[in-house]
Amino acid sequence: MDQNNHEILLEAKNLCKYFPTKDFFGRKKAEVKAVDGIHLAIRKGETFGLVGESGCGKSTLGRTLIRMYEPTSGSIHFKGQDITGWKGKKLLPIHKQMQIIFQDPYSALDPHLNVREIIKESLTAGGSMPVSEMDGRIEELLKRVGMKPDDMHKYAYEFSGGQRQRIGIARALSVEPEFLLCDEPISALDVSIQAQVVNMLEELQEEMGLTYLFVAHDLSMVRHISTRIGVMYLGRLVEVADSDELYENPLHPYTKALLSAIPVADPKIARITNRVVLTGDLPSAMDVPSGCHFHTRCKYAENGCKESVPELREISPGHYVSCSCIQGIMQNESNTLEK
Amino acid sequence: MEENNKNHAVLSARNVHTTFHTHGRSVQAVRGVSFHVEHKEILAVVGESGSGKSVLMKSIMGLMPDNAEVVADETRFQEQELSIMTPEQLRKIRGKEIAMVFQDPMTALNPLRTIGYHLVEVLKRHRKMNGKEAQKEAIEVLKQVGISSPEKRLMQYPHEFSGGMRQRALIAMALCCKPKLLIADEPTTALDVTIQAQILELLKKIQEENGMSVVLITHDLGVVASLSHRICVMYGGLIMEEGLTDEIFYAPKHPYTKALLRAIPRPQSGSRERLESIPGMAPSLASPPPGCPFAERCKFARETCNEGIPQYRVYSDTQRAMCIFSDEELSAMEKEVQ
Repeated sequence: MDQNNHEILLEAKNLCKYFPTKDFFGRKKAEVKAVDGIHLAIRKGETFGLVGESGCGKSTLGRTLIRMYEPTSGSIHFKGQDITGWKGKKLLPIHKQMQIIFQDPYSALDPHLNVREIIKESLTAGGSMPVSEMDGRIEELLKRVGMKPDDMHKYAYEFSGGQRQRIGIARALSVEPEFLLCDEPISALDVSIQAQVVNMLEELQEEMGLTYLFVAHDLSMVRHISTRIGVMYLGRLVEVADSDELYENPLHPYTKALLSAIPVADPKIARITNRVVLTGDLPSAMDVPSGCHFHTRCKYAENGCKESVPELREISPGHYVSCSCIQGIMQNESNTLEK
Repeated sequence: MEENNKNHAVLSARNVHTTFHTHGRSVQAVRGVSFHVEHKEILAVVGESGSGKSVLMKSIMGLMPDNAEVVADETRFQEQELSIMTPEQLRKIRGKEIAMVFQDPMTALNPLRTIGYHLVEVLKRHRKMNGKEAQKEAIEVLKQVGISSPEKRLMQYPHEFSGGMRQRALIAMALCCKPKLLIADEPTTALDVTIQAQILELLKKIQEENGMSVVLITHDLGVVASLSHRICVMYGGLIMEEGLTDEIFYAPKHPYTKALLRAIPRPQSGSRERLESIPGMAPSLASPPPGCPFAERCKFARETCNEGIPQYRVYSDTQRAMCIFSDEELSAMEKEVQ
C-alpha cells in the first residue's frame, strides 16, 4: 500500500479547456475558460476530492481528464503515457480504464433498455462475448453493487434513485476500469441513501484497488471519502492538501470561506462557529477577473492581486496554495492569535 | 401540554390527511399529522423526498391541486379556521399574513416582468399603497435583504439576477406585507454553500428583526442545526419525532432519527469510518404499510410494529416520538445486538 501511495496514475500539466461562445452569425465571440491551467497528479488507489461552487469547472476538469472532452492545451498523462493527442480507436482502451458515474441517475440510464441491455452495451463495446458468459458476468456485477440477479430484466423506471445509481456503477465497473470519475454521484440522492452509495464506493475501492476522482459540492461527504482534496475557483485550483489537513488548517481565503459555510449538523458547534460569509456572487465565467480570480471577493486583496496570477506553491509538505499574499495572511493570523 | 402550547400557537393543525387520487390509484402523502408553530419560533420540518413535508404545508395553505383530498380536524391560523374559508378569504391571508418562499427561485418569478413589478404588485394589492409609496417601500425591503443599489435592481429582470439574488428577491417579496408566518420550502437547496450561508444568515436576521414565526422545510439536518428552535422529523407521511433542536440532535428517541443522524458524516471527526447506512428505501405511499412506516428498515423492528400505526410516546413537554418501544427498551436492544 505504501509503495503504491506515490505512484501517479493520472497527471495533468497546465491543462486548459476553453469553450468558445458564438454570436448570432456564428462568429466566435468569447471564450469561457472552464479549466484554466491546472496542474494535478492523482495517485494510484487514492480518492481525490474536487470541490468548488457550481460553475467553477470541477466537472469539466474531470471530464477533460478522462478524455471525454478535448483539451484546449496542456497535457494529460495516464500511467506515464501522454494520452493528450490520442484520437478515435486509440482512445478505446483508455476509456475502458477510465470510467464515469454521473450525477443524475434518472437521465444516465436509457429508459428503452432493461438493465441487462444497459450493462451489455458497455460489456461488448470492445468485442463480443458469448451470451452464457455475459449473463454470468452481469449477475456478478449486479451482486457486487448489492442488487439481485433478477433485476437484470427490469427497466430503469422500476428502480429508485439509489438503485439506479448502483446500476450506473455496475455499468462503469463492467469494463474493469482502474480509474473512476464520480461526478457528483450522491447529490441527487436522499440522505439515508447517500450513505449506502458512499459505503459501497469505499468497499469497491478496497476490493478492486480503484482510484477515484470524486467531484462534489457536499463538503462534509467529500472530507469523509477523500484522501486528498483540491479546491477549485473559476477554473483554477486554489488549494490542494490531504483531506484532514485541508479541513483543519485551510490556508487560502476562499477555502476558509467555503469551509466555514458548510452547515454543521451539530447545533452547539453551529451556534459558536464564526462564519466567514463571502460577499457577492461568483463572477461570470465569461468575464473572469484579472490576476487572482478571487481578488474581487477577498478581504486580503492587495493591488498586486489584480495583476499577477499566483502560482500553486507548496507551503508545507503536501499542502499547496495559490495565493500571493499567503505569507502575510498567515503572519497576520498568528499575530492575532497571540494577542 | 398540547392545550397549553396552542394558546401561543400562530399555526396549529390537528390530524391532517392528504390523499392524491390519480388514475384510479390513491397516494396517501400525509397520514394524520398534528403540529403547531409557536409565536416567534423557527420550526424545521425535516424529511427525505416523499416524506410529505411540502404537501403537509401546502395542504394547510389550500395550495393543493384538485385531485388532492385534504381532511383535517383543525387547521387554525391565529384565531381563524383555514379549512372553512372561501378561496377569496384564503388568498387574502396568503401573501399578507402567511408568506411563502419556494425552492426554485427561477420558476417563482415571472421572467417577463421586472423585479420591481413583482414587489410593487404585492404592496399595491395587500397593503393598498399607491405607485409611489410602493416603489419607495420596495427599495426599503430590497435593502433589508441585502441587495446593493436597490434603485437600479428594481428595473432589472429575473434573468439578470443570480440564483442567490433571486432567492433574496423572493424573500423580499415575502417580507413586503410583514407576515406573521413565513413558510420557507427548501429555500437554499438550489444554491451553493457560500450563498446558502448568506441566505440562512439573512433568514435568521429578519426573523429576529420582524418577530415572525418561520416554518423551514428541508432535507438537510445541517441547515436546521444552526437555525431552528424546534424540529419535526417526517417519514412516510407521518411525524416520527418532534422536539427541541437540542433534543433531536443530542437525545433522539426514534430509531429513524437516530439512524438519520448516524448516516451523515460528522464534520469534526474526519475519520474514514464507515457511515452507518439505513438499508432499503422509503415505503411507497400508494400502498403504505399498515404499521410503522419505518419498520421495514428498522433494526429494532418486531412483529408488533406492523400492527397499526404506533402511538406517540411523550418524553418531555416538547419531545415525543412515534415508536412502540421506549428509549430504554431501544438502548437495551442495541446492547443485545452488539
